Amino acid sequence: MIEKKLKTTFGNLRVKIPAILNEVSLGQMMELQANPDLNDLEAISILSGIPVTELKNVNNINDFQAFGDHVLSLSHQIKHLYNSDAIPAKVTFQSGKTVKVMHNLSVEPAGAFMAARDIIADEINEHVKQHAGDDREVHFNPSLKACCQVLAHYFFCRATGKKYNEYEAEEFCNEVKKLMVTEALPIAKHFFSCYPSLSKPKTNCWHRFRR
Amino acid sequence: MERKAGIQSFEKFKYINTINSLAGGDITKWGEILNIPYERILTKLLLNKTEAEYQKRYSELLEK
Repeated sequence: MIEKKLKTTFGNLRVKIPAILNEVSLGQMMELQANPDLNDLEAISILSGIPVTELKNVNNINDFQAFGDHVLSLSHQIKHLYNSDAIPAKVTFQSGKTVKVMHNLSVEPAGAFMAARDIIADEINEHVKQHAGDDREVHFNPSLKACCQVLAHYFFCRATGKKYNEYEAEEFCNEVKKLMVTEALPIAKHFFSCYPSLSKPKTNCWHRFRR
Repeated sequence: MERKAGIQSFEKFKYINTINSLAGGDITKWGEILNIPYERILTKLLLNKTEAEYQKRYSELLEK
């Protein structure tokens, strides 16, 4: 993180933004992705969580220069965002709840599975519609919004300990947005790549079934 | 025949069609179905399909 205290017309303003991609949350990255034509001040606002109107109160615009360099550096790192496949062993939510991921890459229960499956199918269909004729395997990068929704369904029961509820699972997107993009994206990517097999069948069940 | 009758109009309901069918049309059971492990749902759907195919074959044999 890079932090600076800037002088404003009303006093001082402490501005803190991520310096590396590992410090950027999924929510911040979603906001950046949703607005491709951002100026530096808008990008700093998203990354610092300070409204643009407050940032405009800073006396000397050159004070943002140091942040601008980091924003530029981040924008270069973002290009390689989808290249990482390293799935984290565990994920810790802001509530303090830690969820083991690596050994439990199944979207469960049925409600979560079916909701996630539909989100992925819609995303793939949208992509196919937009890029008819392209090689999907090479070019397909799911939107961060779809990734966030899939993760919300995947994590909801595990992170909250509650029974599955589709409305609450959708709301859980707000918690997923607080995860770091570098830990959230590889998990979401896994589900997009193993679609439609989002669940690992228990060997025992099919064993019984075959008998 | 199903297509002619407009089965595609159910597509917009997505997975709710499956949930509603498994709940026997009882909305109060939707929540319970959504919380069943997916594997069990899959087994039940497979069972339903096998039963339907069996019934169809059985009816055809009776008609002969």
